[in-house]
Amino acid sequence: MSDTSTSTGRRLTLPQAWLLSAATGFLSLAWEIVWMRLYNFTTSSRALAFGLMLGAYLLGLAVGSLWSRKWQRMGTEGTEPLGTLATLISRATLAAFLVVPLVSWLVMLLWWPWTLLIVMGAAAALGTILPLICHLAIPPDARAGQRMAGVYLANIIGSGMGSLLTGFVLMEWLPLVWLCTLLLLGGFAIALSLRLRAGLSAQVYSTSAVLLLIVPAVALGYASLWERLHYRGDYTLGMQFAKTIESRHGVIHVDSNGTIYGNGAYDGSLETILKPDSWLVRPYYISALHPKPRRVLVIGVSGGAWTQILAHHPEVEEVIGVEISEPYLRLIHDSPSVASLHRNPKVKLVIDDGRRWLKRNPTERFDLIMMNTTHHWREFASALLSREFLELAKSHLSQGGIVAWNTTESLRSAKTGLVVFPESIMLMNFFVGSNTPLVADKARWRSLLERWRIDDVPVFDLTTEQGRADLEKCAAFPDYEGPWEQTHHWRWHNRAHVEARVGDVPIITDDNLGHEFDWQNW
Amino acid sequence: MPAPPATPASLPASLTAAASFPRAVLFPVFVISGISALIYQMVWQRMLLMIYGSNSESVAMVVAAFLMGLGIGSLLGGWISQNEKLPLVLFFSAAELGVGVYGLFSVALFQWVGSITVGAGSLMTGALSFALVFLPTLLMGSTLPLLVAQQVRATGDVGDSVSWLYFVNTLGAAVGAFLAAMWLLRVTGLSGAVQVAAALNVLVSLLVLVTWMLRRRAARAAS
Repeated sequence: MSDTSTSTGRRLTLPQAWLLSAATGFLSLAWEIVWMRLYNFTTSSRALAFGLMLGAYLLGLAVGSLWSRKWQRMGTEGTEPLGTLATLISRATLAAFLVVPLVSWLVMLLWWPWTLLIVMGAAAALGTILPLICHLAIPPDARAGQRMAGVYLANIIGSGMGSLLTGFVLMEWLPLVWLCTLLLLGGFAIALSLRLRAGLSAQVYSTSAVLLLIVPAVALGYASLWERLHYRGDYTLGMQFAKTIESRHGVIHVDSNGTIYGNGAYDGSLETILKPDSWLVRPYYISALHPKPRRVLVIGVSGGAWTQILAHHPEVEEVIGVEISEPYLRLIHDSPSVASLHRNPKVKLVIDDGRRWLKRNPTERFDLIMMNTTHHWREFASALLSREFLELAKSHLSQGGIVAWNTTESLRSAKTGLVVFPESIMLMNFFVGSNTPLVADKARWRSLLERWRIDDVPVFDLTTEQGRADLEKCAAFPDYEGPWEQTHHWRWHNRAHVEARVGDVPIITDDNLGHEFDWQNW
Repeated sequence: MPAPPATPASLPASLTAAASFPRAVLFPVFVISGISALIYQMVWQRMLLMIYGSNSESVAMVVAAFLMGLGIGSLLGGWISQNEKLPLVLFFSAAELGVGVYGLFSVALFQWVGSITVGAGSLMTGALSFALVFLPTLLMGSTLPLLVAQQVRATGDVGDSVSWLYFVNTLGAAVGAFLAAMWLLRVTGLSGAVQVAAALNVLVSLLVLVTWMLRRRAARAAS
């Protein structure tokens, strides 16, 4: 990019073109990151959403590139081309700004893939800019390729900065509505500076006036954004999450019942006390399958309820909780039922990718590795459900150790467990695998339940009639074994029943990505 | 004094002759090139995140690595395109062949490097990701400036050339994203998907090479 010359008559010098190309590249990628966040949340992080969103975005850019030829016909002389370029940037920015609120309203009425047409339209508007910059800055001589490379490089650098700064910095500090407003203002600032450069002061004033009217009006479209995207057709005016945490890792919500949603998908609850028929029997019962689970690894701490339960197991001496998303630690800090995790000397909470943590700590051994894995159809779910990952987890077990994970009703996940572990049971929707036979000791289980206290509050208040009755029902859980077809959820299944149920479904591997791209998961 | 509008006629005759390559072949192959590029991006990004963690820091590093390679490749393409005597489409053909050959071995290479660099920190993750995708993204990044230069030699219109080439390549990328998400990754998995992408690269390379040779033979016969 050493050549800064341009032929006389071009409306943009090369340095100006580089600057414009970088700035508009920044905006384009920043908007793409915003839309990724939008669709990631709208679809509860379906892997398909990434590919389809990317496809729609690129298709829009492609159409915009061709569409740009319409404005190239005006030539390169006079103030008109720069004014036109400024107008295109303003329009593209406004179109991009409208995507989030429009999609949030339309998903209440339409199947989400249809809303990608809006992304495509906004991306088409963005796609008109780069070719026009090249048209206005690069003379068609023998050095056109080299000059184009400079403009293209500037665009790539701007795009990279847009991606990194938006995804890594701005999303950490700004809620989506403010981020979008900032990008809108940024786009308009670029357009205004172009108009000033072209001496089109009148347009500057009129654009500023329009902006003053548009921004507050459209910002209203962002009100209750997450609630609309989450509840869609069930959304009613006034619905509001009890807590919202937005960060570069995603969006966490807690509703008024204490139910946690991570990027729009159910992600557990803040409840820790066991009741009969409760799904919460799983963390209690898995630990009961091991006579003395002293060291426990929890991969995916989320709201911390299961880590809290395990940390208070009477026999547990140490719990390491690995969580990929730091904001969950903030949620734990602010939630009374689990806040003591931060003070519990038995508990160590680590921010890391679970697989990477295991690889980085090859000598660590555990009696129990627990993963309340997310829905099997979500993006990257197969990274924790694959044969390769389960082999890795198995290699970190102590003698008699157990790995347990939520199959979320995926038969392929259960089949993978059968292939990796010689001994296993299914505990409701959990697969429990080990190298040694899994035997439930009823007396030990009952004794555990009687002694289990969380933050010094007994799980079963044996001073009350209700507490004693609840204990009796829960202590009988080892008796609830039966074939898969018996549908009541308060049940476990032996290996033979699991084998009969899963049949010859394919296993999940790192290569085949499990269910992530299944059609039925739209 | 403003410069006269450029037309092919205002370019040296040697340039327009060298640039003679049919759009009917060039545009479709650049669509295919875009398809394979997006398949690689989706597969390699996924593999790198599996190796180095799928947290936001790793995602940022991997994205930056891709863009750096493309950016440097763009400069390389621009630098090569300055030479007026070079048949630029042949460089494009070679770049596609290079990407395809790398693609064929990429899954095994990524897995091997991943296995020996397990404990890498965030910065090292970025460096390794950059190293792993540098060569193919360098080659991919070089193709647009090369072909823009080739088209400008033929048409004398920068905006039109950029518009068309950016359109066809990005259209291919969009098709690649749809194809990978809706069918390829589900049916073939990661390793199968890169094999398909590599086959597309080789096909593009051969189509360009054969077309160029046929046209050269025809030109020689005519002269």
